[in-house]
Amino acid sequence: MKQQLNFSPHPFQTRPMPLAVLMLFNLGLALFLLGSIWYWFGLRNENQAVHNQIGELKARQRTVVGGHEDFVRELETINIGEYKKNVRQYHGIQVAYQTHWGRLLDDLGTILPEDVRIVRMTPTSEARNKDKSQETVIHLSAQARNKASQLAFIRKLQERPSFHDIRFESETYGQGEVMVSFEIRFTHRPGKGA
Amino acid sequence: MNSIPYLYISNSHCQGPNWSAELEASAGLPTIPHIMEALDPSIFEFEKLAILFADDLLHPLRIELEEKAAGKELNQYLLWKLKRFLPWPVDQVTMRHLPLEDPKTFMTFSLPKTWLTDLFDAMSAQGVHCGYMGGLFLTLLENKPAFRNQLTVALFNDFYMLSRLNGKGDFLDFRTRRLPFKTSGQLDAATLVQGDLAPMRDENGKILLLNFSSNLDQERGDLLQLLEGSGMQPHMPELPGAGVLARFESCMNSKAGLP
Repeated sequence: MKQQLNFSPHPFQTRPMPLAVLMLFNLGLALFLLGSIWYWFGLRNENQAVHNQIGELKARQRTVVGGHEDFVRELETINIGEYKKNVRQYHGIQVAYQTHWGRLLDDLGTILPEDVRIVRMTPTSEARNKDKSQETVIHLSAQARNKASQLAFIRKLQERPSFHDIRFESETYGQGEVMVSFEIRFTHRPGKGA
Repeated sequence: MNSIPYLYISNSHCQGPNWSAELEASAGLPTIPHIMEALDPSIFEFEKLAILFADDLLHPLRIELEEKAAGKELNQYLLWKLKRFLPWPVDQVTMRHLPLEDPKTFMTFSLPKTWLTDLFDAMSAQGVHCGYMGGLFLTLLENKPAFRNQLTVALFNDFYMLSRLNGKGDFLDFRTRRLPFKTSGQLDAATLVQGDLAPMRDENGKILLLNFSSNLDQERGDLLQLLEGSGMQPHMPELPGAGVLARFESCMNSKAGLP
């Protein structure tokens, strides 16, 4: 009912169709905006969570990089040459401790001629574990009165099963009682028959 | 709005849904106490009510202005012109107006503010909100499309109203006059047709008559015959019901406006 000729002091509240459509549109728009805000808040929270994770990862990265730098600084203070030398010394000591000196000297005593004397004997490394007996590579410096005594010693050494891999390293000829100084390297395997 | 019940008030009687009551005869508007006394108590059971006045209670006047006016200025101009035609001071009047085809010509409808307010308050005191108060025929013309593009005449007990609307529902012409009666009390149909309606004939000659008065039912045949004799193409549907309100509702409840 149109209101143009309505005399009522308080007319009925009627909403024309365009106004109703506009109100419906506004309501829809408001709901859309509300939904958009809700979605935006969700995205913002998700973004914040991702940023937090990235922050944690960066903190861990900083810790790892810091640790790495400390480690590099620590390495820089180390003298590798000295370290290697120490390691060799410690290794030599360890090998020396593990060498069966009694057996070795017993075995050598049985074959050592009178004209040959041992000057220095150095175990160079712990040999392979073979046939349940420990092998030791020995660097031996010795002196002989003559060449025949030297060769007799080496021959006997080669004949003994407890000695093998015998290598001749150096030899010098002198004057006087000591005619020949030589160095050999061999592997001693204790426990093999004499 | 169509579901809201109607209360019809004329200067001699009032009608509600399925009841009718006479009012104490008065020269002008019926008084509010008389109206409230006459109302059937069942009317107060409604929360909302539309009051329809007999259109002649609204003092319909055709006003021609010397100059064009619009807005508040037009309202003041019309009230100033109404000064010598209304029985009430114009500053105490609620006035509605309709522009006609001529841009300087307006139809005005007026009622005293206090009368309207008193009627509204009296109904409100009974718990009834009267959100619509308007002329019965004007309400039909405003709301139904059946009355466009033709001459429409509404016949009441002692007056008739004539309107012509364009296709958009704008008023092109509007007149209200007393019905001519013979000394015997019978409608002088010949005078009505020859004197009033025939001069208003338009090009196609179509005329629609709505008879809201059961007193004039017997004049239907004579009226149609006279109108056809004047070269017009009359259409006068037989509105159901005996009272004005029943006939109004039969038009209002139909989709186009004609039962």
